[in-house]
Amino acid sequence: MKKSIIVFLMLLLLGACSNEKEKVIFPADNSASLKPIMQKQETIHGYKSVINEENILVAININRFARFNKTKIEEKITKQIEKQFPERQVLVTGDQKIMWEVESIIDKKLKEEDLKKSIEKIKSLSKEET
Amino acid sequence: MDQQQFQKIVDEKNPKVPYFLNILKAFIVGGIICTIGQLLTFFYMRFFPFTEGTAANPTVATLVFIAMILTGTGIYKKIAQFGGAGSAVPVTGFGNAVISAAIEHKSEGYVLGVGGNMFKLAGSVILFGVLSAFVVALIKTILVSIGVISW
Repeated sequence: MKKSIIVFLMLLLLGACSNEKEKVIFPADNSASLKPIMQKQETIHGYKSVINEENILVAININRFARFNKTKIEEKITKQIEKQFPERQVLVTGDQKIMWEVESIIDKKLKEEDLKKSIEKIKSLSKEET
Repeated sequence: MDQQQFQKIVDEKNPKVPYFLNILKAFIVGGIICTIGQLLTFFYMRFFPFTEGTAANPTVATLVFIAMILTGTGIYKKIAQFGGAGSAVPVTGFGNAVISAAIEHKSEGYVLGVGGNMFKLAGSVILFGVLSAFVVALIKTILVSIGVISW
């Protein structure tokens, strides 16, 4: 009994360490100038991003206690990306729902038209208010 | 025998209130209710087009609905007896206050009985909720205009 609990806790502990696959940019080929910006952020521990010709979507995993400054962090990263890509519309969000939506895009490996449609859908979703 | 002596005897005779146990029970019951709420939020985010910001509304509605059924069947009374404040502070406590008042006054008719007395207890929750929201917003507006914090 005791042993199995220790094994379980070890699994949780080790599972938390493997965070390299939490950092994805899709499609990977035009990620050259986005990656360094995301890499130097200290308040986040993961990001998933989707890019096409007009839009940049970045869903970020904010560190647990930095979540109190969620809006500020989003604004800061948005500004930095807009500086790098002035011609595109940038959406940075810490919302779990958008993270899941971006993940589903990456999983399905959507191309051109479908990608554009999904990105518009996500953008309209993030604009909704209570 | 003056007032103080009387009070002393009363204090000695009264059973001690188990504060720590009550707090622990309230923590556990309130925590379970909030966990259910969080799971509902994730459910609405996963299977419906709600974001973290908008999923709160259907979650609250569902929790009040569950509280309604539990109040009508008499289960919420037992939970409240065990959990105390842990079952009264979350939104289910608000639902319980509305629905138990409605059930109590059903015999007086639907308009004057149920309609008139439904918000007997919950009315103060709404009033002071709005009032405290106003005060907090006022404080934040002042702080922002001074420049201490930003929106």
